[in-house]
This record gives sequence, C-alpha cells and structure tokens, in this order.
Amino acid sequence: MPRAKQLYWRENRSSTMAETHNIFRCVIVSPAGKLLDCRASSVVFTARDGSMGVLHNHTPMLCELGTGFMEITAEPENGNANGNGSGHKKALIAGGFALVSSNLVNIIADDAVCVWNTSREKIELLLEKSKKIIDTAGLTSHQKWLENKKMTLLKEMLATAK
Amino acid sequence: MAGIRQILQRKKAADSVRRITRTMEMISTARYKSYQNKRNSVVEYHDALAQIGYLLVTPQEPIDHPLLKENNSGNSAILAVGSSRGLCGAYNSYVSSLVDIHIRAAKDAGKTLDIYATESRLTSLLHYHNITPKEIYPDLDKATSGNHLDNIAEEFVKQYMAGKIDSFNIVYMRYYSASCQQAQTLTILPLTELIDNLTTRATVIWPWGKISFEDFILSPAAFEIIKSLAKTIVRSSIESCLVDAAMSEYLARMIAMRNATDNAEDMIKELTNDYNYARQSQITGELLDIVSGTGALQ
Repeated sequence: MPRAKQLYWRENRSSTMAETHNIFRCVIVSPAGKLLDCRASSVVFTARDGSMGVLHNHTPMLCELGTGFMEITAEPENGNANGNGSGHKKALIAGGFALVSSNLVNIIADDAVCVWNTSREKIELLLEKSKKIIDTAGLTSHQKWLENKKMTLLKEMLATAK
Repeated sequence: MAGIRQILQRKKAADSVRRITRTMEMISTARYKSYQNKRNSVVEYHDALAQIGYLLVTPQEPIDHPLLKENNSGNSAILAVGSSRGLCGAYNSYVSSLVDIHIRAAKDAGKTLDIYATESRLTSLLHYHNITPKEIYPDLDKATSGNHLDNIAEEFVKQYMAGKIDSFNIVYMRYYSASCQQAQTLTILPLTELIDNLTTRATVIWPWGKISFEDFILSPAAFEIIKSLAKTIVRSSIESCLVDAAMSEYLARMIAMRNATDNAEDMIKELTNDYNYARQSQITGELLDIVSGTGALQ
C-alpha cells in the first residue's frame, strides 16, 4: 500500500475511533515547554472561579486558570490498549489560560508540575524555591497568597510521592 | 630586535591571554547554548499566547478595553536592555544608538520619552550622551524571577490603562540566527501591536478554521481576560526579549573571544619564530666566537 494511502487510512481510523470512544486531545504548555500531549477521555481543571470538567465535543471555551490540580484521564495512543502514557494523570497548574476548541484542550499554564514524572527530590527543590519567593521583599499580598497555595499543593504532592 | 628573554616574556603573556580568552569563549558558548534551549522550549507557550491574543482582538464587535485602544497622552516609555559586562564587541553601542534614534524621534514629534534601563554598561553610555534614565532596574537580568517581571509588567500595564503613557517599547538586541543579531524595538503596548507582532512571529497560525470569537464561552468576561492576558503576555514578552538579548550578548562575546584567541595564537606563532631566530643567531654567534677563538690559539 502506498505510504500516503497508509497515512490517510490511519488518520481516518483514529478519527473514527475518537468519535466512538469520545476521545479528544489534551496539551499542557508552560514556559518550560510542552509538558503533555496525549489523547484523553476527560479533563478536570481548576479555573479561576472553580473546577471545570471537559468531555468530548465540548463547546469552544476560553477561561482563566487558578491554582490547583488538573486531572486527566489519558487514553492510549493509536487505539493501542497497552499503549504507554495511558491512565489517570495529575498535574499542578498555577495560573494561566485554558483554551478548548475542536476537541483540543490546550492548557497554557504560567507554571505547571506534572505529578507522574516528578521525583521527591524535585518537589523538595520546588518547595525550597517557593519558600524563597515568599521571603522575597516586594511581593504583593495576592502573589504571596498564590505562592502559599502552591506550596500547600506541593506538600500534598510530596506526601503522596514515591 | 628584542632579546631572547623579552621574547620569551611576551610569548608567556600572549599564551596566558590566549588561555583566558579561550576559557571565556567556552563559558560564553555554554551559556549561549543553555539560553538557546530555553528559547526553544518557550516557543510553544508564546504561540499559544499569540493564539489567545489573536482570538481576543478579532471579534466582530471590538472589545472596549483601554489596553486595546490607542491613547494620546504624548508620553511614551522605552526599556533599554544592555549588557552588564564588556568584551562583547559593539553590542552596547548598537542598543545605545537605537535609543538615541528614539529620543530624536520623540523630540521631533513633540513627545516626552521616559527611558528605563537594565543595570548595564549601557547606562554609562547613556550618561555619556547626557541621557538620564527615569529608572534603572538593578536586578533585571536574564535570571530574573517571575514575580519581579510580574511587577514590572503590571506597572507598565497600569500606566497605560491610566493614560500616563501612550506606548511602551523594548529596545534590545534581537536574535534572528547565529549569524544575524540586530538592535530592534518591540512594541509592547498598545497590546494590539504586540499581538500583531507575536502572531507574525508565531509558528502556528489560526488553527480553528471557521470558529470565531463569537463561538467561545469566556470565563471570566472578556474585559477581565484581556487584563490578565495583558499581564501574562507583557511579562513573557519582556522575558523573551531578555533571553534574546542574553543570547546575542553571549554570541557576540563568543565571537569576540574567538577572534582574540586566534590573534593570540598568531602572535604566539610569530613570537616563536622570532625566538627561534634569535636563539639560532645567538648559537651561531657563540660558535663563531669558539671557532675564531680556536683559530687564534692555533
């Protein structure tokens, strides 16, 4: 089968699968780079005014993010049931925007920490960094409150980290 | 011709200069590479921000927000980003001459211009030209924390919203490629110009096909989102300008140090030749003395 035809067939097959299994794409980008790009069946994130859930065929939406955990039910790539990276994923998001359109959830985070690939040592380092930021002079009360909230969530991550 | 000892001393001096410049070249290369990685990793984040920005400035009925409108306060602000260390060629001179152009343009237009600058050699250049910056940010460099940048971004956004300034620009050395860096002005406020610039630079252009602003649910309202987006986009643009400036600086220093190393190597080669020539002359002279002395004895 010619290469172009193979690709066309694969694309068509995956889109049909997406429709039948109610799957969409979820991407997390932060100033540190692209942290996640996966197929998902549901996403719950903390918006500025409370938690928000997104499923397949969600209406286009743009919202501002707060500080909190984001939960993703990731699906295996290309319909492979044993694919890597599937399952329940959790990430700490601190501010930013969420853009939902055409079955794509794009999380543009000011700061994000992925729970699934962050070690205890890294979390401890991040906690130290947060403490230093809080001690810095010239922070507004809102900035301090946000950093404190982030620290609380990092401690929660540390308690469950392996 | 200098004596053997003098030549040796000069050779040693040239060799230590070569070692220093070689080390500085290696340090600059390593830092340049780390900034390059940082710049590459942030591309997708900037593209995503540009997409949101584009969405917010393209509704059928324009959103009434002071950040999206032009104001005629007759006062503009620029932030000049220079290098805090020397040995990087004409880096600071390029930025300084662009600042000079801004000052002349503001004079011609009958406007006042507030100059903000990073703590760098640029400030002494500005003082030399009798230009006094309104404020110097001593700790605004490439490793600045996010909160400090947040405060700076918020300050300029507030000034623009209050109508105190009608534009805010950053004068910095933009990095185009490893062979091309140029002093350039990036307009940060009004926000529409920045979004226009970012969408032009973005690697992704409007991926939603027929979906327009009117199809989107906004939370909170567009007015609030624009305010938050302005802070984020202004902060990330300042940060990206600082990274660009740092890359250009390290690249300029890398090239300057490579040239210095090459020159020192050439000098060492010449001095080695001189040394060998002088040594050979001395040996020949000594041999002639011995031969003529032996001849006299016979």
